[in-house]
Amino acid sequence: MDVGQLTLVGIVMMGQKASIAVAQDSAGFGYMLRVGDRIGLHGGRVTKILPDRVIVTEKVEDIQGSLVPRKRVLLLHPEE
Amino acid sequence: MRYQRTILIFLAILLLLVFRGTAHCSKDTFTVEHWLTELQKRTQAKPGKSSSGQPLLSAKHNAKETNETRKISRRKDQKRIQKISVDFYKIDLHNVFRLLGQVSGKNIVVDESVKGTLTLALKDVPWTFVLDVIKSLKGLSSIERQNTIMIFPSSKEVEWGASKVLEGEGALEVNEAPEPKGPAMKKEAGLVVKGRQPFKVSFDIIEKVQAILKKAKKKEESGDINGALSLYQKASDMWPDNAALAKKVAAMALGRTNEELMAFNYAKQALRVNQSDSEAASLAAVALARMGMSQKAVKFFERAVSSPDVDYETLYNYAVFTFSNGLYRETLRLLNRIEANFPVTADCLLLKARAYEALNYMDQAISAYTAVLNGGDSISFNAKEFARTRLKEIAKRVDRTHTGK
Repeated sequence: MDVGQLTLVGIVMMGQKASIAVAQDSAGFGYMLRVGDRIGLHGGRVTKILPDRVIVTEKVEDIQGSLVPRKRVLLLHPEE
Repeated sequence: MRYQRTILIFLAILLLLVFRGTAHCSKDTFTVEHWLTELQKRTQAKPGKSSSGQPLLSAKHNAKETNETRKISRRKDQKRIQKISVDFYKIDLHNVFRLLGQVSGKNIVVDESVKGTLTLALKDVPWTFVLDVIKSLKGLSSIERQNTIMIFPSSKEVEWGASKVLEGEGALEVNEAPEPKGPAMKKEAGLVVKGRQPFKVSFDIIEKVQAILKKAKKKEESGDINGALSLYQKASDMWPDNAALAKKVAAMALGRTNEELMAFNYAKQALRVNQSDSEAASLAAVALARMGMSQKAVKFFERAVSSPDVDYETLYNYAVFTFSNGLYRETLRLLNRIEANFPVTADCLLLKARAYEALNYMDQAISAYTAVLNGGDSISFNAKEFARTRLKEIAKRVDRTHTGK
């Protein structure tokens, strides 16, 4: 499933402990995300959990065929 | 500033102690040591400082020890109330609880009737507070046992082991009876489970009664009313303080023929628990009325209807009783009270019409009967048919009196 199909619905910051983010798919199933978790296509991984967003880094081939990291951001309040 | 002050106070007290120590010689060492550790706990001074200038005591070792224990306890505290920040946006409730399960490390079980979405943001709060907020926001309750939290809607009664006792429920709708509860449940990790009142009956008896009640309920559902009744009776005898149970037995006994005396006795038992229990009084009254003891029945009926939270059945029963005893005005008074407090039923209208008819108020009787006829589809065919025949009868009678004149 692509990252674009997930909606970020919750973030819990826990001090020194690893933070957890929750993303829901269209059926309402929740995925608990921690830094380092694999997510989506193109070898995506959760690289950062911030209080209002989650940053996923994917590896995409560019024109020359070399793998380039691409950042994708999941926002908690998309419309704002 | 504060640190300096604490050290000053500490040194002052130490001087005092030294004075005392020298005065009482070395046999008091133990108590002084004790005092000192007490003090150190309070002032949180460095171990090196406290031992300096105190050759009298083996305070260094002591201080180290207390410091260590203090560290451990602090670590424990941190673990217990680790603050978290949460931000939820239109999140499904089930996901919230799964997340809280991960955060807290506890097992969380969620009732399937819990649903909805949630939006909230809380900063620097313990996770238990988050749970409390969500619970109050969504009308949920929880029970915690064995590292497991069960979450369910507050309106739902959940059984977990012997924590709750099956109430007398079923054929008779039981009003708020004083709820029998087990002993107060443990408070753990800030999760407060409803406080329970202490109860007179011992816990294992309640447990036994619960087992009996379960059996009784099964029998009742399978149609074995006699078996169920005897089991309920047994349960009520074991637990006489449970008014709801006694009322249940009384109601079931009333449902059967030739058990009026038993019904009366159990109703009385329920009344003993709560003097102003209108339901129990009404049950007793109905039983007495069936036994033909009208005088006594009136007393109990009056007692039943005198309570402010009297229910529809009680009033209607009393109205029927007064009607069958020829007290038609009393019937009308009771019917008025029903009309004022409850939705009017076809039964009430018919009874009203008959009471008017019996009192010879033909105009009112006719209007009440026609009201039944025009009441729409919610009124049963039988009731309408009855009203129709009565109207014809009245019409004939009125005709006759007219022609007679």
